[in-house]
Amino acid sequence: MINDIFQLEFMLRAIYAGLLVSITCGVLGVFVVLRKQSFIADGVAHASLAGIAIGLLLGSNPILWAVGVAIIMSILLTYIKQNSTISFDSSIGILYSFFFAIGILVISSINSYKPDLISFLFGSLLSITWIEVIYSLVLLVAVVIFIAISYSKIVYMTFDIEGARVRGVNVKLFEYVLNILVSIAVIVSVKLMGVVLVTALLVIPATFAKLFARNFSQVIWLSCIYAVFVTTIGILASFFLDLPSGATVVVLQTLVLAFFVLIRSIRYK
Amino acid sequence: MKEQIKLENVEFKYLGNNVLNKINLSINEGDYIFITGGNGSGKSTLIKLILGLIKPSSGQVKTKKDQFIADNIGYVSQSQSIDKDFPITVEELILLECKVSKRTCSLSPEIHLARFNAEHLINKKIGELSGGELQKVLIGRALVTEPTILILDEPTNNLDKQARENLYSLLRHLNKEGRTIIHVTHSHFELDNQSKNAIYLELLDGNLVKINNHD
Repeated sequence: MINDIFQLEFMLRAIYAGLLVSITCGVLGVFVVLRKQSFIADGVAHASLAGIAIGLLLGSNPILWAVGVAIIMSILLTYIKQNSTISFDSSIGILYSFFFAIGILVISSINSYKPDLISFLFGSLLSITWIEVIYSLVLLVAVVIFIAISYSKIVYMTFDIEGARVRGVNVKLFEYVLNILVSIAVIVSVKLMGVVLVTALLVIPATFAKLFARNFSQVIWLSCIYAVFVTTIGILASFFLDLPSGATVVVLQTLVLAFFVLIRSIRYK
Repeated sequence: MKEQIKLENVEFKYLGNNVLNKINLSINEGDYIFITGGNGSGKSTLIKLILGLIKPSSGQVKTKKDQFIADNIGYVSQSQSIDKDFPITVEELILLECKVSKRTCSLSPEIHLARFNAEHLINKKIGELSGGELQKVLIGRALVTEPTILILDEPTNNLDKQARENLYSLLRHLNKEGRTIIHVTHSHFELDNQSKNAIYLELLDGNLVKINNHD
């Protein structure tokens, strides 16, 4: 039965994309969670509706438009954080509402029914194309190179931002790069998870890893392993049970996390 | 004694309000300086100016041979700003300092920590440390690259009496070794516990005034 899945090209595409975005989000999610910025993923995902809507309106690739909006949003967020007294979560709330509203206005001007929109909102295995698998691969390579080059500085900055500034780390630049990469990761994952659920892919594996790792390098490995393992099972389950992929992955990720948290709390009682 | 840091007529304004007024301060090698003051008195601003994190509105912060001062400073930020749930071990923390600093580390983390009687903590996660142990580790981290100046921002917050005494003893020892210590605290109580050789300064209404603690 499992072998049959690999005969289906759309499932191959979904599994490849799932593996790639799981590793990407597994790595980036650690920094998102430890910097206490989980809301950024939710904000970017919702803001991306503007890009998706513009893409659908113009009949061009909605993902590329969504990536453009996500990059603009992450640059604005980082700029506001570094140059104003407006709190980070407030600026996310303001900007994502603005972009989401733009998206609704654009969608309302599209007369015909757009089935693509549903797959963006809730995730769909069928909608993933080979080009999106390639986007996922390119992003993963970019993230691995960035983390490999600047690992010590990013970890230092995440742990002690003021200390990092004292040590001469270019905190402003790293914040921009990190937030842009997170935003692109969110958009690349949107086809699989859906706009409303994509945050889970960044937050749940990293939260699991943070609870169970003995040191920092373990956190990244554990987050990736958890993301890859549970997401793949979620994709397979969504195929066999004919359920939306994003929702299935999130429910599974949450239940597995809850199970391990329960075991941990019983153990340490 | 060689002068390490000099503040000349340093002023700092925030949103049009004067936070610091014409501060003049000379810090020499081996000084032990206490800076005290109430909440919002500008203590942290003064530290940020010395560290080069912010620029004065007017005046100058001069350093020895125009070197980038942060390279020669061990900075211990307020421990409340540290996320104790951060999944990192003491060893990783020390190694991270060595990798990020422009200065080199001559000792392994274990041997370095042994100087502070903290080598047994090396494999512990920071969340597993007591308040006193964490402060000791943070000071150890700040000193692993052998800076000659140590700046501590409210280092005794959340420490019990015994842990505070241990910390004072460690800081006095570091000062005797020749390190310059700048100790920022909001509590006058701290000043009663230190040596007569220390210099006591208080920030009052944006002005830095010398106080005699042993009157």
